[in-house]
Amino acid sequence: MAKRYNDTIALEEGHRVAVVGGGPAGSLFSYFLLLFSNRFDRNIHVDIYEPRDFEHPGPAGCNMCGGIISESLVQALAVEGINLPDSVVQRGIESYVLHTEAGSCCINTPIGEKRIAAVHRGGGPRTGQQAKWQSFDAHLLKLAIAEGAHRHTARVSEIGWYGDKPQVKVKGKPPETYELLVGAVGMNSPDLSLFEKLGFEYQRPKQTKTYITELPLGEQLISSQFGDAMHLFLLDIPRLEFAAMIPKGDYVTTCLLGENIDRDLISSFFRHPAVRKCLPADWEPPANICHCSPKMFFGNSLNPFTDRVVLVGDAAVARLFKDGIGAAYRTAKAAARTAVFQGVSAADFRAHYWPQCQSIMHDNLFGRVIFEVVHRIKEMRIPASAVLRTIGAEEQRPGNSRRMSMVLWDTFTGSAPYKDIFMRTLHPSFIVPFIARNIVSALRSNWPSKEVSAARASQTQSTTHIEMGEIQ
Amino acid sequence: MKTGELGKTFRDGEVIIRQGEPGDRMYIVQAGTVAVSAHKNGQEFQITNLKTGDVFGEMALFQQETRSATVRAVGEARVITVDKKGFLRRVHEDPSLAYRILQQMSERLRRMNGELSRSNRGVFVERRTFKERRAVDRRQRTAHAAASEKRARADRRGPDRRKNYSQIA
Repeated sequence: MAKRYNDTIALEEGHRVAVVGGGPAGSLFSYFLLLFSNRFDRNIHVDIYEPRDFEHPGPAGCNMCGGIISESLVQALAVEGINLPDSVVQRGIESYVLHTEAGSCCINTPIGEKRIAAVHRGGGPRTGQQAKWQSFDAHLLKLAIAEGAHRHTARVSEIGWYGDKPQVKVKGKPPETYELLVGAVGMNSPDLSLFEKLGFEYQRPKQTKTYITELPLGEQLISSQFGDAMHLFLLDIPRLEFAAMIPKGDYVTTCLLGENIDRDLISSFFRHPAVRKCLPADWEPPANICHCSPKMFFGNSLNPFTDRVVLVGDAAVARLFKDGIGAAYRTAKAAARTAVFQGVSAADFRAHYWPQCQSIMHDNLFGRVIFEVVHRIKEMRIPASAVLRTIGAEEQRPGNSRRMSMVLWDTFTGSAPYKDIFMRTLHPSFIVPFIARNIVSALRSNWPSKEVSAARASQTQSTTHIEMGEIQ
Repeated sequence: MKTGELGKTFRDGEVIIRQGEPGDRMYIVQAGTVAVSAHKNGQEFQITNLKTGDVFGEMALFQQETRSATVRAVGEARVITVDKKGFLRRVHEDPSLAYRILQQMSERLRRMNGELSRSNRGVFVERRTFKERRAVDRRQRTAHAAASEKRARADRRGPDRRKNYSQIA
């Protein structure tokens, strides 16, 4: 039996840990738990319960996600010694194109290097014939198994207690008792309700729905039409917050975020001129296109831990709209660190794991402010035009002094904490030129059409990426 | 560069970081080999070669100093950069992130200690040989000097004796 030191329950030699869910949060938790315990020569048995085969194309192996690994996560994984090979990464992203009602502009990576990875979480869309790339989730799961975790493909049918220890039951087998139970089930898994029934006052996070579809454009067309650039759309379409087109191998993953995303909203998005411009002229989405409407983290969870039970990843906390896998990495590692170095009691998780979750929650408050401002800007032509002008003016400058470009880059790639981004927007070097360009845009919008035409002409001749239609 | 390759690819011989330049990021080798060398007194010394997974330029993250060595690609090499600000923020939040870097630094220190002790052993052996040779030389010189002194003494004594004998005679 595990020892209790006041409020601490320690994980010791030979103890058993169950991880329900083998996505990034579950795999990374298992990997780090085994890595840390091996450093101490402490032998801990880890069972991962994951019924899905991530190598399988279509919904059976899919984790329903945009599949972007943020710059900060790619760097953190590299430092951890977890390399993402080109057999997993379908495309390295080196720039993004921002589309607004006022025009479009291209923002390049600050140091001219591909540090954002576009992957498929599962085996790819259901229409895929042959998997050319490995699944990202399968890659991480293999990593955990290589570190010593045991994978069970049976679906967990019940979770309960045996005395003070958690118990996991799968169909047709006697229940297994563990010293620690980890929930890494994600927002879209029915297994999340099993944890709610455990009776420790856990409350799942608030959620919103998103729409994801895989456009089968083919590798050649994607390379010529999109290159290594992610396309981001801040369009004035009712109920649409923002949308992204992420080029991968043979497919372009398109994600729509907003309220009550329905057929009308989807069709008005694909009919929008800015979107049509990105796609081949005569291209129409095929009838059997692979799509899903997964739930997405929108608000905080409550009590994602108790004695011997902890929830990691989306089920606990995630970053607002961005970098869900990054949050899974941070929460999984924090929980593994707590379990090995501190203990597995509720007091241990409250003292050492919960602060990590709270830091993400706190950061999301700044994220809400930023997205609210972005939402307002995209509705107004003058500020949107001023944003594009500022980016155009910054193009020739070195990475650090491209303030507007970097703010947008970090906001939409999830590369920096929202608080950090917010603080940068308060800097006079950010605000003053932006206000000045707003004034210029406002004045120009009132000038006679002759002058506007001249401005447009000079704009086209300039080396910036700002396109026609910016000033009207 | 393939579409799925992350980081930046450097051609054979291309300099990734240069000794003496300021640095605000570190690098992790993703593919290929890079060579680390340093200049001292106008001469270039090869320090080591690094392979996939190895870290370099990490000293710039912990010290406000210039690069201590030059790193070049050997063949085609792909590296990924890690920004100082983001990395230090992460380490502050999760110190275990620095564990692998410490491991590599410790490995490098051990290797350097090994090389240093090997080179010290060489110096020691050289010194001992020199001392032995010097002792032998001294002995030989002493023996040679004694013999020549004896001969000289004999030579000096010879005519005197003869003189004495003749005088006696």
